[in-house]
Amino acid sequence: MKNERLLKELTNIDDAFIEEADRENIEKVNAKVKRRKLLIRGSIAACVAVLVTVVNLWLFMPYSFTKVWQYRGSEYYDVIRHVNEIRLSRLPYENNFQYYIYLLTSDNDRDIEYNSGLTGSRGESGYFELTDNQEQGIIEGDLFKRNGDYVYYLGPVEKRNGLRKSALYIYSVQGENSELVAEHIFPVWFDNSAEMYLSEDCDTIIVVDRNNVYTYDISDVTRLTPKDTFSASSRCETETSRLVDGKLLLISKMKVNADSFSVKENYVPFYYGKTGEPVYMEASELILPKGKGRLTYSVVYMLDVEDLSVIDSLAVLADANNFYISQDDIILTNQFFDDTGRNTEIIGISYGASSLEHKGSIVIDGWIRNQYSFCQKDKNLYVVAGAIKGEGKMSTINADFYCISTENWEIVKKIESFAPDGDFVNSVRFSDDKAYVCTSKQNNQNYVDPIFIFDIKDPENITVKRSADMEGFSSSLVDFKDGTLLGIGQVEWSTLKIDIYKEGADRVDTICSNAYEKINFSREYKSYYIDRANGVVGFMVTRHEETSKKWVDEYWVFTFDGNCLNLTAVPLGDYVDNLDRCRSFSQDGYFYVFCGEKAFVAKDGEIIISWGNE
Amino acid sequence: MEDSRIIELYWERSEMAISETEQKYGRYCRYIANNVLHSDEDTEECVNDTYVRAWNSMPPERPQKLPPYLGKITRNVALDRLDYNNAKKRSPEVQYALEELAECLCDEKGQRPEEDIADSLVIKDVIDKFLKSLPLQTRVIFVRRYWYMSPVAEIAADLKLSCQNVKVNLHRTRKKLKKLLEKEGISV
Repeated sequence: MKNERLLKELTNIDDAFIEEADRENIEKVNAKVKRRKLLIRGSIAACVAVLVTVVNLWLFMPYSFTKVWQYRGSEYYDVIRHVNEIRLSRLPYENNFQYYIYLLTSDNDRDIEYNSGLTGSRGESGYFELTDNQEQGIIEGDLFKRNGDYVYYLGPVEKRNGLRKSALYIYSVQGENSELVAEHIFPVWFDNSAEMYLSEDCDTIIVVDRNNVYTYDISDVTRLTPKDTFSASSRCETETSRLVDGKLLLISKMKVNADSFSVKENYVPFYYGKTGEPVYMEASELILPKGKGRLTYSVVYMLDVEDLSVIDSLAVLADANNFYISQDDIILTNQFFDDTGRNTEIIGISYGASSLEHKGSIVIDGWIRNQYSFCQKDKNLYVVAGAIKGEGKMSTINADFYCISTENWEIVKKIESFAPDGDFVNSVRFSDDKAYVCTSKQNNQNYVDPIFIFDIKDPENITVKRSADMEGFSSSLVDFKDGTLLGIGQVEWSTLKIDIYKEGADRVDTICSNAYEKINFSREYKSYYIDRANGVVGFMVTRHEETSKKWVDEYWVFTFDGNCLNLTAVPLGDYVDNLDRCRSFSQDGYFYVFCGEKAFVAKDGEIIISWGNE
Repeated sequence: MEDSRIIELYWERSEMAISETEQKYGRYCRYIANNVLHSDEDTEECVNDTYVRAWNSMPPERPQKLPPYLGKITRNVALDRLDYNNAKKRSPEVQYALEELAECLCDEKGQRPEEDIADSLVIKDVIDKFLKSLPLQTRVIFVRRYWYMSPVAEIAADLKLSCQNVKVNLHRTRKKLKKLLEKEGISV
């Protein structure tokens, strides 16, 4: 039998194994096994102890800091000390353990928004502004710009030759004779946040990308010729930009690497010169704020759009989350935490013909929602801020209204806690001598909001009126036809709420209020077409159709007749990829709508011409 | 008496070699033989045969270690004696050990013809390497069970383990041996 053979073959095994297993030696074996087990257990315990020690050291050892004294001779010594001090005093976490707890528990949402302003202002040389800019004459970047003859739209070209590209679509504005005149594919793919400008002479397109600015000659609409490029440090990321009197104000952010000060690019912002060499900002151009927030610069470049040369630059060591550019100043915010809680430092930078200068700053309690929370007027800066009131269990959220002098950076007037306790600031809009504010709180899953109208004619005597509480809230407020106020917002996430308010003798009245259920719409303000003079607002929505149980895209136009908003819908089927990237305007009764690769012209609720929707 | 001296006595052809072996390793040889044969009478005969074979093999052989040398002779003699015994009379421990070891063998399909049976030296080399690769306790359990034919309960008591623990250990070792034999293409 085969197993017997194996049993016999076993006889010839090495003598050592036989001797080792001999009963006489069993105590030795047991002792060896015991020693080995102890050794293994000891090794495991030692490994665990080492691991626990290493993990503890890694988690709980305070961050080490560079010996900054060795940089005493550097022109950036003040900056280095400030950066190091911020690291040392950074409140949210002092070691890795606290850092991860902070990541898990903190609300890192930022309220950075791109925004817009006035309807159809015709320039002297044919330039026609489509973007609803916040400030007259301070042009904001957008996906579309136009002159008297053409609309220029910055859109994507999907999977062309297997690559994603960006394209400039040029359409003629001729009602039912409109045409797609040209489709220029850019040699580079622009980031989703890229925006463009059209020069005042309408010959140049300026594209602001993640950390580059490009200009293209478009004097002949059939040809797109690259002109100049400006490149900020690859560590920079564009936040926003404005075009003012032929100068481009480019605001970007750069994270500081405070681990080492031996490499200048770690802590000094720079851009690339025409020959490709890095040009570092001088120490005098680096502003150190009062509040010690995140280790990020907000960098402002003033560029000449003729050749994209840098006229001036300035950086504030502040991770600004709001940027407001008025006729005189650039206002940015530095949010930081200290013993008193969440604070915001409002920093002013003046921009003249050829220089950027730090004007001053002021620290206020709380936080700012977005750029529309600011308005500069007659050397005063008006600000609406949310803030925590009270301490401990008695604390609540409310809102404050400030008037701040930009000459001495002191508070001229403060209206504290003007909203009901627990209300967040949802939207703000300044127009002439009025400030419109919508606050809201969530009650049993439902939002409840009031609207406030401030009269700021006399900064020393600011008055306020409010509406009754209403369901939902407005995410955008727009000063509208005949002194009315348009509110676009929601009741729930998939509900569109669109209201008209008017200031009464002693309160804010609701003229009309419409709510549409199962509607998705963009919260991107630039995607709304606003015609104040004629009381028209238009934007793209996605609606859930009850009969087919499908979501369908429609372009909605609301017309205010003095009493209510009348809706006209243009049905489109499955049309839009990204509601935020749709733009539209109206002229002579025709609506021109652009969404990515697609575009159409509509009149009286019907599409007349369509492009890119094969 | 030292093992080297006993070996010298064999080489001097002194009959004292047998009596010294009996005195020092008689119990050891009986333990091995009894585990295989389970019969006092057969065991005694087997041990006596062991001494005769040792007397005949030394000289010319001069074993490095005497106990394993005697043990191997005893084991071989005991297993040979089994051939004379009826299968029904076979020791239950050997029967169990044989059945357990059958797990390590290739299936019928994998078997080679008789003439292709692996050479004993190759098998010895493979098994030695296999045993060397085992942890000390596992190796001792395996050798105790399949070389000394010790009962599981006795192995467990000696090594201060439970019977179940020993059985599981043996099962895993057999599986490893089977894999190794298959890998080496050995069918015994």
